[in-house]
This record gives sequence, C-alpha cells and structure tokens, in this order.
Amino acid sequence: MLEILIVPFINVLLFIYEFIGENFGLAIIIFTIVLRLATYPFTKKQLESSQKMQEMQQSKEWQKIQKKYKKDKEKLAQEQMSLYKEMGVSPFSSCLPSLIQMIIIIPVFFSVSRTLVFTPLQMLQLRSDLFSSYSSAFSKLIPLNSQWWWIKDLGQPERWDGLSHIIPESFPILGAGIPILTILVVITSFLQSKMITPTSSGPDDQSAAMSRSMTYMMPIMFAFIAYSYSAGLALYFVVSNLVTIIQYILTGRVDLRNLFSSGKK
Amino acid sequence: MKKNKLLTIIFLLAFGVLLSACGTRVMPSSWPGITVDGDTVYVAYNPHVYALRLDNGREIWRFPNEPDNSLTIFAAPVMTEDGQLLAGGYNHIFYSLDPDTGQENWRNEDVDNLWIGSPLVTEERIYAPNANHTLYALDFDGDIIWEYESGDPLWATPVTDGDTLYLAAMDHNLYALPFGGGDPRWLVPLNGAMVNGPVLSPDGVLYVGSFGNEVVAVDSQTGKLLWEVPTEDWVWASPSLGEDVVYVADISGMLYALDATSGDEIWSLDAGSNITGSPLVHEDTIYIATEGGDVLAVDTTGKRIWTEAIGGRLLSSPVAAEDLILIGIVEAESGAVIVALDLNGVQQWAFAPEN
Repeated sequence: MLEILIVPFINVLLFIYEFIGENFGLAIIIFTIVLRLATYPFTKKQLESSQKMQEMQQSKEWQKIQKKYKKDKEKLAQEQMSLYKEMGVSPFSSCLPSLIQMIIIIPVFFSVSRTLVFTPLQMLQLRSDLFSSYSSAFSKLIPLNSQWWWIKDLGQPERWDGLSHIIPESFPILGAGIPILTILVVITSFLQSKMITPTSSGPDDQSAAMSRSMTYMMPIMFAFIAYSYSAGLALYFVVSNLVTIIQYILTGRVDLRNLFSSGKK
Repeated sequence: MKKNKLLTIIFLLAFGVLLSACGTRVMPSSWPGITVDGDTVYVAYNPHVYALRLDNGREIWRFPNEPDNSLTIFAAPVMTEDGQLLAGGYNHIFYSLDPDTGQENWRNEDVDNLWIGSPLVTEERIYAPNANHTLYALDFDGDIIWEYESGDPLWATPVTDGDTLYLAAMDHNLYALPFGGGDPRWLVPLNGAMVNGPVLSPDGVLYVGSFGNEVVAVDSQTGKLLWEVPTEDWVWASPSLGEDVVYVADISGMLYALDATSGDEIWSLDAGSNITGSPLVHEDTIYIATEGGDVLAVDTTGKRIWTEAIGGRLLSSPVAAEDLILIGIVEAESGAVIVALDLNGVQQWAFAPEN
C-alpha cells in the first residue's frame, strides 16, 4: 500500500534533483512545498473547522451546558458531542493537519532513505524503484550528492560541529554536535500546532485538552524522529511546518494571539 | 480527559515504534562474499566470517564467536601471502584474522565509513576501498601508508598489472593510480557509477561495466577508450574473460558474449532474472546465478546446458573450487547462505549457520 506513494515520491525527488542541478537538499525543499500545496485543500478544510470550533466554544449554548452539567462529566460530554454534531464541527479538527502529516511522513521517510543509498541491497532496491521510462536518465545521477550546506550527509542524523572547540565531546547530547534541524523542527512544529489550538472554555473541555496535549506531544515526537533519523527527513519537517504556517497566515483564519496564550481561559 | 491523553501517548508511541522499524541500516544489507583458499571456504555474511571445509561445508570456525550487533561483514575475505585473512566490516573496522583459527591478528579503526568492497592484496601492500570515497594503502600491520580520495563512495576492488592500480569508482571515473600513491596517471569518465572493478586481460585491456548501461574496453597504458557497447540495464558485476571473449551480465538478466577486440556481440542470452554476480568461466562453461534463484550453465556458444533452481536470491558471483561451484544465497527458506553444486548442477552440500 505504501509503495503506491513511495515509488512516485522517489521518482519525483529524482526528477527535481536532476532539474535543479543535482542538489538533494533543495530537491527535498521543493518536493515538500509541492506536497504541502497538494494537500492544501485538507489544510483549508481543517482551518475552517477549527475556526468554527472556536466560534462554537464562545457561543452562549456552549457556556450554558458547561455551567449546567459542571458536576456531571458524562452528561457534559454527551451534550458537547450533540452540539458538535448540530454545528457540524469535528472535535478533533485541530489534530487533523498533524495526523495528515504523520500519514505522509512514512512514505516520505522511505522515499528519502531509499534514494540516498549506502549498501548494495539498497542500491538494488533503488534500481527497481525507478520508473522504466526515466531509468536511463536517473541512473546517471547515481550516487546522489547527499551533502547540503552544513549537512555532511542528508541520509544521516544531522549534527553541526561548529562549536566542537567549545563543547567537549563528553557533553550530553550536544557533545556529538548541535542538532540544528531538530531544534528547528521543535520550534516550527510547536508554532504550527499552537496557531490553531483552540482556547479552552473550561477545565472539562476535552477536545481542547486533547489539542493542547497534541501541541506539546507532536513537537517532541517529530524532534525524536528528526534527531534519530535522516537529516533529509528533518529538513522535510521544517519546510513542511513553515509552509503550513504561511498557509495559515495567508488564509487569515488563525488567531495569532494563540501563540502567546496558555491555551486556557 | 486522562483517557484522551493516554490514547494520544499510545498513538504517538505506536507511531514511533512503527517508524523505528523503518531503520535503514540495521537490516542485512548485502550478500555473501566467498573466497576459497586450498581446502577451506571463507564466507563473509552478516555478523560473521565463517571458515568451512570445502569437501562437506562443515563449519571450522566463525568470527566473532558470539554475534556482535554492531558488526556486519559482506565483502569476500582476502588471503595475504604471509597468511592473514582480511575482511572489512560495515562497522568501519578492517580486520586481520588468523585463517586457521579465526582469531583476530589486528584491526584498523582509523576509518569512519563502511568497508563494502574487498581489498586487493599485492606482495607489498593492501589496497582497500572505503565508502568514504577513499582508497587506502595499508601495510601488513594495518597501518595506513597513503590514501587517495575519489568523488564518491568506493565499493569496487582495484586490480593491478604490477605497476599501476586500476580503480573503478562510483563517481563514474575509471582511475589509473601509481602504486606509491599520488595523482592518477589517467582517468576515463564513464556514463554511470561502477560498483565492481574492471577485469584486466593479459594484453593490457581493461573491461568494465557501469550503471550507465554500458560495457567499455580501455587501454590500460594510455586510458584510451577502445570500444563501448550498450547494455539493456545497469552492469553491476565485473565482466569475465574467456578466450578472446568478454562475458558480461546486466541486472535485467541479459548475459552477453562480446568479441574482446571489437566489442561486437557474439551472442546474448536472457537468464530470466536479475544478475548481479560476475559470470564464472570454468572449463569452457559459463555459470551465472540469478536473483530469481536459478543457476545456469551455458556453453561457449550461448546454449544452456542446465538450469538448477536453488531458491532464495542468488546475488553473489559464483566461485569455482576444484569440481564445485559455490553459490551465495540471500533469503533462502532453508537458512542456507552458501551451496556447493557439482559441475552438473547437483547439490553437494549447503551451509546454514547455526545460531
């Protein structure tokens, strides 16, 4: 099933790589932008849904049921769900972009790692991944140039060793080099999630609580992946988050004040 | 609320576990490398180098004794004249072993990348290609004497005529390097990467294939391109030499017999599945192994003599040893990593490592 996405992704990456003059870092950036533009309808729909939810949570009906069933959590949950249904809002809407991103990153992960080969079996796999009509042109590109900017190898976890003369090698985590892309992944993932996390209408607002927990969990999760796996994947995360943030801003539907609020009212 | 948080954490953990299973460097990543010396077969595969008896395939020793998670070895081990068995690992360590006992003589840990290709051993030096783009010349104590850096990873074993090293590189260049190190005497750019070395004929012609769907002949003295022949697909393995004939296979499964002087095709044969190993020319018969699990014996006119279905993926080059043809296997149902066939294709023994 995943192959349906992985194989075209690999060939699109190679096509871009060839087109822009054999720069794999730039190929990942362009590929990510294309991917985010292709999934823009989902982002837009989710933003609309998120905005509806925020409006609903500020409505009189919502406040009323919060007060009325303050002591009966089960009933409160039932009433909230009815209201969601009535107003056509999904309580999990703010998680949607992150979930879509998670679904997409698996084929992205494989396509990046299967393009930057290190061993004979990986090389054979790459050969079978090439579209036959382009295989002759793509074959001449192999092996790909996996160096990009300060990153020695986009197929390896990224560490910047520019401060190695100051930070001793034995220093925890940073001793092996500063994971700049991982830090950028944390910042951009947090900003992206935070921009659309609805403010909570009360301590029992389960959907907002869920969204809040995702706001913190997703950056940690993506940071773990970016730190442990390839720099190419980390680059994908950063660009993907930045494009999504720009999309949010351009739609004018997000409340930038969310960035500076705790998420609770 | 607590339930939701718990579900979120479980979901994210499950996702993390799923992705961690996607690791790209821990799986077996190549195929068995086979060397025969006298009555012993040495096989490098995954976490061990095995020494086997040639007559029955029984294990004599394995290195290391206990599996080491950081170690995978696939390059065919190489014997030196002073009785060392050399093997480079994917753990960046280059080992010298005692071929009788499997005990380690020395190791070189100075290099920071994978040893994928086997070294070339001469009377004076060890020439070992590394995936960090560099060819290392080592002495027989494992100390690096000089190095030469190419533009891309090196997987191919160099060849020599006793005066010059000929190195096929993944940066698309075929290099002629002086024995003592220094700048290339010449280099020939080809149309694709080379992952296996050239073969050198007695009259000084180098034959090599590349991922640019080609096989070329190059004058080893001048670097002049003598001829160039297109193939259906990538040429993975080194060509083999017959009498005035060059045998070369591509990974689409085509085996070509080419006139060594002109490059003209004498005949070709479709083996039906990918070929990544070199054709073995032995007693007027050409043996090829296919990824689909078949071993084919073909006569010098291109006619099939026999086909034996072994199973698994046969990606290694067949190796001749006395009256046996040794075939490396990956993903065999039986767990075998090497089988020995007689010259009629009848299996004589198989070796499946016991844990």
